[in-house]
Amino acid sequence: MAVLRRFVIVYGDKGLGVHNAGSLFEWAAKTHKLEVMLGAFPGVPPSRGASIEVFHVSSVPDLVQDISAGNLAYLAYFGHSWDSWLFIGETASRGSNLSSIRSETEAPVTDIPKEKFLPNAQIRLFGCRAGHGPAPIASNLHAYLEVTVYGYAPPGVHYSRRTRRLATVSERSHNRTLTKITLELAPIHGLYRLTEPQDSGGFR
Amino acid sequence: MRCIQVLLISLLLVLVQVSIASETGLVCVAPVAKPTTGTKSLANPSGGNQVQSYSVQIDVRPPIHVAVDKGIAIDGLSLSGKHTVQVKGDSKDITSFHFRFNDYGSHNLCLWFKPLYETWSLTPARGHGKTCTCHESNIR
Repeated sequence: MAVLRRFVIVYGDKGLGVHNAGSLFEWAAKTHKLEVMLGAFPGVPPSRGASIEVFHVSSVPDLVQDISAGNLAYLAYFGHSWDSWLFIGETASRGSNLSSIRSETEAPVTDIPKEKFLPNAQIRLFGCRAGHGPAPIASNLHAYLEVTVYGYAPPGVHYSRRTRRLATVSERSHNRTLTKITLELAPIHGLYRLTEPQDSGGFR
Repeated sequence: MRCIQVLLISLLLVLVQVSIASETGLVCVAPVAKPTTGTKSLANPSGGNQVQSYSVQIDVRPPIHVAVDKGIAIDGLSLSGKHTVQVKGDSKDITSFHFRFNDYGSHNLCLWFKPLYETWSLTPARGHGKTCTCHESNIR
């Protein structure tokens, strides 16, 4: 009997204050669902015959719950991140961050059940610098889950309109180079096209 | 009569050019909160940040110390040509870059800090609301 493969796309909390990304993560996640359905994102496994689901997560426990059905062929994350962390939730609670340690607000990658992933599964982290630094979260996930993990490495990742399709980073900059200051990185590919008008707020 | 018309047009052109030349740009440097204790997260974006204070210098003007509670405007910047911004944290170089007002389509720009990522951004001030509010009394 064939296994029903699952493609799960999650997006984290918007963020607060200057980090508020509005609806961008949600839109990017939903756009990516279309890309996965159409086989339009290079390198993502074919999704024919699989279920493709989008979830909002505010913590690592949320993420664990959403993958609990197992048979994961693909997991994508849209949200805040930086080097060794996924900054998933905007409230101070256990598992707001995914990292390598456990603390009041952090949950380690070992909380993610590896048995939920199929062999040759793939994870893509669409957040800033998840592949950057001496111990990037992408690397930590790969080492523990033993699946392929993609994360952006420097010069960095920056959702910006400079690439063809982008889940935008910052607000009203539109087609401008989003300032020389920000760590604008060359993404692996062009990213996500917004499916609705750009919201205010910025994120990285 | 024709001579007067030419003279008036010329005078008008000169006045327009003078008007344009007298316009200047402004960069509002948004306040930066002090670092906080605890683990960095979306709920605590300044958690664990190391730099206690920042200064910003544009071109050869005296550096301004970034405030924690209010924006500080750097005014009178030429709209033509390229400006250089240098940001220092605790007297150490953090970042520097060039910009032109023309690239942003605005005479009022906002230089603001993202504590979660400890990075600086320069964007049009329009739409930044509370992030970049510079009052006349804080013009440098």
